[in-house]
Amino acid sequence: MPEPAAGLLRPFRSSILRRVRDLLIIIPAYNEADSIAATVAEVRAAVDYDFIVVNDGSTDDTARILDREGIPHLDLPINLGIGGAMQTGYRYAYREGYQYAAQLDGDGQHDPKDLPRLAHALEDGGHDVVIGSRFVEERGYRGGRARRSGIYYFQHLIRFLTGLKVTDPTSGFRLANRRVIEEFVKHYPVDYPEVEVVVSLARRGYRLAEVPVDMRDRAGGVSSITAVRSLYYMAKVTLFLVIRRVF
Amino acid sequence: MGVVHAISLLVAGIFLGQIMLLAGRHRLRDRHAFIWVMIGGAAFAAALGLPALNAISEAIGVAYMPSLVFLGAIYLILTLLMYQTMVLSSHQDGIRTMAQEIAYLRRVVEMNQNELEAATPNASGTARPAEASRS
Repeated sequence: MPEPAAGLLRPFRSSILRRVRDLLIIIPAYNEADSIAATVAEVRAAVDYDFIVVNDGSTDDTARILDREGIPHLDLPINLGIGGAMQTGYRYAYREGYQYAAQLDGDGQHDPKDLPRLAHALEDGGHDVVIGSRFVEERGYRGGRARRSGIYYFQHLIRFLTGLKVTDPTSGFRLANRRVIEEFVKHYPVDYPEVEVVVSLARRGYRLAEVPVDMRDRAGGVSSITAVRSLYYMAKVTLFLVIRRVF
Repeated sequence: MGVVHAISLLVAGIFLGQIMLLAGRHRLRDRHAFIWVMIGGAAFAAALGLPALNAISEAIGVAYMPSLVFLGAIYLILTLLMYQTMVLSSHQDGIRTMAQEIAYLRRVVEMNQNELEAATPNASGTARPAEASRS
């Protein structure tokens, strides 16, 4: 007679979780019920990498869609914000032995077809992090005036603090190697992490590079960045970057 | 003993008593209870030595002694608030890590359940095909 109790209690790991892997795509999703299925379908069609959706305590149908469609995901019991969700993905990548982790927005703004180019740039260039940039080459993306002003501001702030020229510091389309994944598991900014991560990694001697990519409009959901939040974003990031540089 | 001195002693004594009561009933964690007992003790000592405070404030050029007491008290309260914020931040970090661990463990449990179901023979004696290996 089989011993289900012993089998259930035995701390074995699924063979899926035991496989040797290379690159994991992390897709954070907060209330992305309108777009997450399409984003995942696009990832599946475009590349052959593993991926995981991090459902950041969504209050809409995101969790149900992920379950229904059999999409691999991590369900956070509470909303941790983009930083907490991303760190969850990096923690998973680290635990499961992935060598590289890419982050891709759940709203369909990033084209997964660009990922192999990011991967090649990372490997060939010997970089630790590669950022997909809308502005390395003129590719038609304009964005709103306020957004462009913010990006321009952060470009100069990063240059002032690190000497590094980053054309798209707010881009969430990134690929990191295992050293950086390990770094992210230890510390990842809670909110508005993109700029802080760039400065923090640059100051610790990690090598960063940008690769031109296209970005599209959101396929669904609502952006969390409003005018007031943008001002808070800029003030908060500036304040803490300066404080952390001095102390 | 003047009225002010008596009232100060009474209030400091009540405050110290409150802390002792809460600490005794385990309503305050030991580390926090210790800090509060120290503060309560300091308040009581200040109330006891109220006349001496007049001399101290005069010596350092503060014309109105209560201003000196309030300055010290406000500084102490702000420091305590800062300490509480530090404790809160530390707890938030802990909650964040726990939530991430829960999400990870949920995933592991689900994967294990799927694998178990796939490995367990059904009524016809055949095992269900395992889930595709690609995540």
